Amino acid sequence: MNQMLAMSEIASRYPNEWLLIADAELDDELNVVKGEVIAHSPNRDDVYSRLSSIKGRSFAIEYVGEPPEDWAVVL
Amino acid sequence: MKQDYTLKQIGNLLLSKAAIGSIGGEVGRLRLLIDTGASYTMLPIEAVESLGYDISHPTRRVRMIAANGIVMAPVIKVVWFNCLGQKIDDFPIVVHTIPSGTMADGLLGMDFLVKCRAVISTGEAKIHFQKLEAGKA
Repeated sequence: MNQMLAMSEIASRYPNEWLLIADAELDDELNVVKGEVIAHSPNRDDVYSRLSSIKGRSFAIEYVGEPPEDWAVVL
Repeated sequence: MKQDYTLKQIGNLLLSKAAIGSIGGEVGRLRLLIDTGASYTMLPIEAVESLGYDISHPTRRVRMIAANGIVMAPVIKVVWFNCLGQKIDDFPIVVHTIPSGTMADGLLGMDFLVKCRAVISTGEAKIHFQKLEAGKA
């Protein structure tokens, strides 16, 4: 996984997954343009657990996809 | 400067992207739920620590009602916080990881929305800022 990829390529490789992207290059609206995928998982907290391994590097957390139809949130 | 931004709509929820600056110059970019029911902007413990912030010595703590009861969550000031074109220096945030499954990393709370005088159009998934902020919180 040790390579910079465009976000379009990342999205096609990891549908419906949370992503930890290191050295993320952002556009003016904070969209990821490209970066290095460090971790990917359907579970957000799996991705969080890898954050400690990239201290000192910029990162983005991203989710590619849409939630299930029966999904709801109450906080 | 731009005053209107389109939010990402997921079901009935609205999300935004936010960037946080670290003391060392790194940037963390997260997805935040627009939450008018949250007093404060909230960012996950793991992301804040990865940016080098020491949450064991917060500026203060706030009593927070969470899913698992009342917790005392640390409040720290991040070097800068940038969301929807509004960049604020020394912005205080509550450090707490919201439950997984929310499709978000944290919450964009009323502290930010009021400060920037945000007007949210839920039907259009748009946010308008009546007062553009830049600088100190």
